[in-house]
Order: sequence, then C-alpha cells, then structure tokens
Amino acid sequence: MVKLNKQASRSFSLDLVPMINVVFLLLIFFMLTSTGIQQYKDIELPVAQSSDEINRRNIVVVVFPDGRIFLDKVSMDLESLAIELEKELRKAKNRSIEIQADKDVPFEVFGKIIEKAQNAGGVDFIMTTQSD
Amino acid sequence: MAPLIDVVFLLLIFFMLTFAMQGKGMDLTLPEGSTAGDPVEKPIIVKIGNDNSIQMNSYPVPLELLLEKIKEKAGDGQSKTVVIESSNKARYEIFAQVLDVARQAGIKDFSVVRNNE
Repeated sequence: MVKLNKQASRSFSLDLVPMINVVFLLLIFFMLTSTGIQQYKDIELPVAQSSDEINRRNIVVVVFPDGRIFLDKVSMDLESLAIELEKELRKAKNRSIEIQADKDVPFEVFGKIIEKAQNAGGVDFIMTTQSD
Repeated sequence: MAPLIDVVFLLLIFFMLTFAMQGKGMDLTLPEGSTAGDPVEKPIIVKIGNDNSIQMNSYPVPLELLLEKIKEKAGDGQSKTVVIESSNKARYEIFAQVLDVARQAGIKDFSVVRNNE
C-alpha cells in the first residue's frame, strides 16, 4: 500500500505545467483563427442585405482595389487566371467561384473575370459581401 | 483534470479548423457558356452608367426606389430575369448593390453584360 505524504498534499503547491499547456493551446487557436478571418485587410467588401451564409470551400479569386488579381494567394493577370481557373474547375466539377473584390474595383475588372471564368466553364459565382 | 482540459481543447480546435469557415456572400448563377440563348420572357434591364447612375428599362431610377420598381415588374409575372448591364467604368460596389436589391426582390436569374461605351 502506498502511503500518501499528508504533509505534501496539505501544503499549497501550484502545478504550472497543465496551465502552460492550456495557455499555449489557446494562443495557437487564436493565432490560427485570426489569420483565417482577417486575411485581406486592404479589401473592403461591398455591403449587401440579401447575402446568405456561405462556406469557404470554393475557388477564391481576390481582387484588390488597384486591380491586382489573386487566385489561391498567387498573383495573376487575366490570361493566366483563365488557364488556372480552367485547371481548377476540371479538378473539381461542382465548385463555385468565390469573388472577393473590393467595392472600389472598376466593374471592368469584375466583368472580365466573370467572362474568363465562364469561358473556363464556371457557372456558379459567389460575390463575397459583408453585412453593414 | 488538466489532461481532460487538454484533450477537450484539442478536440475543440480540431473541429473548428476542419469545419469550413463561414462567410457572407451573394450567389450569382449565370447562364452556361458565353453564347447564352435569348430568354423567352421579357427581362428587366438595369443599366449602370459611367457615372454610376442607374437606369431600369431606360428610365433613370435611384437605388432607393429600385427595389420597389423591380418588385412591381417582377410581380406581374412577365419578367423573372434581370439583366444587369454595367459600364466598364462603373464601380463594382454599384453592381453589387443592384444585385443585392434584385435578390431582395426575389429575382433568381441574372445576366451580366459588360458595356464598353
């Protein structure tokens, strides 16, 4: 039989290791979630009231206010976008193309992206918005 | 207690990361291919000009009244499709607002035309 040391259990001792574990986990958690949501600070999305909840399993095209286009975080011009979109769409048939464009982008850029995507076989588009 | 909390937190993080992150957006389903056939019914045509002004079926309509006007038109059962014809120089925000209003009016079918004028 093991004899418990009454003296030790009575004296106050704080075990730091589990607390550090938990704090680190929280730290990692917040680091990952914050970078996931606030990915593009430079982009102000248009405001819409009729928007629905979307999940983020789409092909994402990001358009910055100065007209730069990114597909999966890679900078593209319109021509390479068309080629890459076609590849992506062929890989997974039913995916939508999500367009995260700044509200001040000229319509020309958005229209051209839509045209390229349509030629590449894209039918479903999602325009990412924010509620006011 | 501490190992239990560790495990619970790990599970929490795992599920939060694996489930897709939610966001907000507007669905825009366009007709397939670049040569879409003419719609049978008479569509509502909303034009956005160079100066971001809005016209519906050739009459200028302010954005605040657009919802009412589209509802009026869509309500009579004649047109269920909205063609948004936007100038190249117009801002994307205006297009998004028009699309938003049309969606609020219950429109599901859209065509998008880019205008070069």
